[in-house]
Amino acid sequence: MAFEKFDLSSKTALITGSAGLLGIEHAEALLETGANVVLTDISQGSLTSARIQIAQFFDIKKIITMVRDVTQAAQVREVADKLIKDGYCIDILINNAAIDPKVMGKQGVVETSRLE
Amino acid sequence: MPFEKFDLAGKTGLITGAAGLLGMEHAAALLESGAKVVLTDIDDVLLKAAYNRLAKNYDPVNILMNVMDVSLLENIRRVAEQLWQANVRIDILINNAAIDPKVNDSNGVFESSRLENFPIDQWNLQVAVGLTGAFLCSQVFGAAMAKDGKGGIILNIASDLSVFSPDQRLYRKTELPDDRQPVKPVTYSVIKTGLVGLTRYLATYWADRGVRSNALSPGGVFNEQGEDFVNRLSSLIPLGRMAKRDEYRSAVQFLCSEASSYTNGQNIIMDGGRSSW
Repeated sequence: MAFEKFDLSSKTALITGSAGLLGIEHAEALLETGANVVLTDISQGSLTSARIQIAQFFDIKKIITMVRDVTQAAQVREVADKLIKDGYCIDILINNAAIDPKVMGKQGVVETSRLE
Repeated sequence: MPFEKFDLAGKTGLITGAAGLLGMEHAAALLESGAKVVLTDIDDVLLKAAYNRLAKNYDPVNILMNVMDVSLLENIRRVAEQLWQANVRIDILINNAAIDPKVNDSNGVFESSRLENFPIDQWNLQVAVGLTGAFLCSQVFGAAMAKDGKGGIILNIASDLSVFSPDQRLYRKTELPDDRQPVKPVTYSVIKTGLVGLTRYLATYWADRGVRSNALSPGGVFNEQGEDFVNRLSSLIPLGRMAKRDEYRSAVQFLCSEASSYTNGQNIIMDGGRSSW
């Protein structure tokens, strides 16, 4: 088989910031190659809609969601403990979460994106 | 289908220096993904041996071969003409040919690998094959990719020595005085770094014609080198070992297919982490 080295069957990957534009893409990339994915994000609402969106193309049983704030160590540990309890071992971690400030024209007198 | 972007069915890849250790692996990588390959090498005996080895595992219909000296423009043009006559379009060019000078014992009074003694004819020959050869093949085959509007991919095989200098302590012989210690010659660093420059140049030059160019920089491949050398080198690599010969195939498949459609002008360094230390 040509692509056996790309095969992720029986692997589980956790993706942070999974509800974002690229987070969803990363999850789909891993699902395509056979992995289970754990989607995590700070926002329950967008996490749920990300799961629904992805489940249109992939087996929903392979998609787990967990709300979590990556800046809170206690929350991260809680997720890790829960995954262990449920029998999951994380083989792959994709650190994707970030705050991506959009550059917008503001009407105000002060432009806060500037260094000053 | 998960791997459709890796699919190279209907594509043809030409590999220079295809009879070498990694040349054959690059050919196998493309054949695995469904491409036809044109094996080229200066040595017709080794080329036939490479063909026979590959034909055991892959359909021989997909394997062509041509003796070619990459340092001679007329030679490259002749091969291009033959392929054109046979209706073979080169979609992928892998510039792999190089003279890889092994650092050996030399019993002479001086050690010719050393910078102080390095012969100009060796400099010229190695540059002609490793660097000029990549330029000439890109000139002939890359220009054809750009011209008919179908685009293509140029992959230059550089080395981890394109991003750092050889550690000459690896080659040290305890019994020899400093001025007779063998070294990895200066040409290797110059050629491999030069290939990265060629890669960036090509990546922008024909970008609007659909030709992408990237470099792959492999670390050392284990090939029964002496135990002492292997141990010394492995201690410089976070993964603690040299590469297996087939560990670059996946990267070649990625870089030579639509899977890398937004990768252009990059040097992909696969060195077991050595350059991170």
